Amino acid sequence: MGLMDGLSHWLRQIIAVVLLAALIDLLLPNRTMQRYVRLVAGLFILMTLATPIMNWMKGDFTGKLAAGLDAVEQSPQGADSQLAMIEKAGAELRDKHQIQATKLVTSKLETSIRNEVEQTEQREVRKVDVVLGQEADGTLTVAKVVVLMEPETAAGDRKPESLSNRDVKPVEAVDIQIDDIEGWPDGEQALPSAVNQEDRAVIAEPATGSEKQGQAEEQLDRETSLRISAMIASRFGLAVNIVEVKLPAGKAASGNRS
Amino acid sequence: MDILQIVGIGFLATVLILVIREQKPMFAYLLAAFVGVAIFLAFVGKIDDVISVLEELADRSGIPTVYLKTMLKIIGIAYIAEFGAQIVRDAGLESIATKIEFAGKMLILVMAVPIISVIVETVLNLLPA
Repeated sequence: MGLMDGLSHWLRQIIAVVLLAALIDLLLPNRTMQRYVRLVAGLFILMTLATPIMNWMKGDFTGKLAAGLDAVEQSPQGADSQLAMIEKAGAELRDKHQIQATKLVTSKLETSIRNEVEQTEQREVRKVDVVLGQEADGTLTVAKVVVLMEPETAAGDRKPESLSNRDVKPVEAVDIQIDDIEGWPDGEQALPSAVNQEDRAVIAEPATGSEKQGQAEEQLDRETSLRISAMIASRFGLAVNIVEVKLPAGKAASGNRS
Repeated sequence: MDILQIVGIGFLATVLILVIREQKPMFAYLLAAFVGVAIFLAFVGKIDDVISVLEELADRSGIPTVYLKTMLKIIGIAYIAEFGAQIVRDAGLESIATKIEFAGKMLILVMAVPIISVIVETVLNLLPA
């Protein structure tokens, strides 16, 4: 019975495939494709006829055929280059994302450090620079924090008179200029040099004063900056040596001018 | 009833195209292409019935589904290639139409490659080495 069953199954398969081929031949739009489709249909009929032999030769030829057809189906031309292109675009997007995240983290960190320092120290902060570094596994770490303090209020807290001197200074220069214009018709060429001397004297006076105080202030600032950096380090969980607190370069310039 | 509608649409389109063609050949071509696409899309769904019958046949007779799938893909490729080639041919570009048909033929032949390889392998195994 096993043989009869197998035989009837085989015959049924052949009939079905021939019918299928006939139907497909009928469905075809025109004659140009007909030869090709007939070739494929004929191959299928041949395969069906040879099924017992093939089963005898080796077990799973149908599975092999299906795998081959799927491979033909799923390997479009230029798949490799497309994959490379997609991967490249993905890497670009990832980089962009990374840069945006870095910017966001930097600005948030700068704002919070500034707020923290201003609250605890009661001093103005001019600028906070946070430099982020990237580790090998792609995580971001804080590489350096630079806090630039605003000098005016700091000076104002300790010595208001020198501050007032410094603040008035440009106004005096303007007054002298007005004098110049009044005396202009008398001494035409001599005046500008005289004015310059006078002007220089006015500028020099507070500057020499502030230099002496500047040293003391620097000492104070060193302590303050150490304190601030320790505070930032403890609050934000950073190493103390990457936090740097600076006074702006403007003060050094005013000292140099004398 | 459907066939009357389709013939009516085709007839109307033909008359319109004949009228327009003298003045605006471009629009005549566009109209032809559009009517072709519309008829094709309206009736390509009917092929569903035929396919379901084929599937049932394949199920009951126990032929591998790979056969049916491949044959249906071949029919699809043939139809689409033929349709595109016809539209291009309407515009008078015989050479491009031929290339489209060529692409369709190539795709059909590529489908046949796994079958041929299996058969050849079997035949080679049959022969004593």
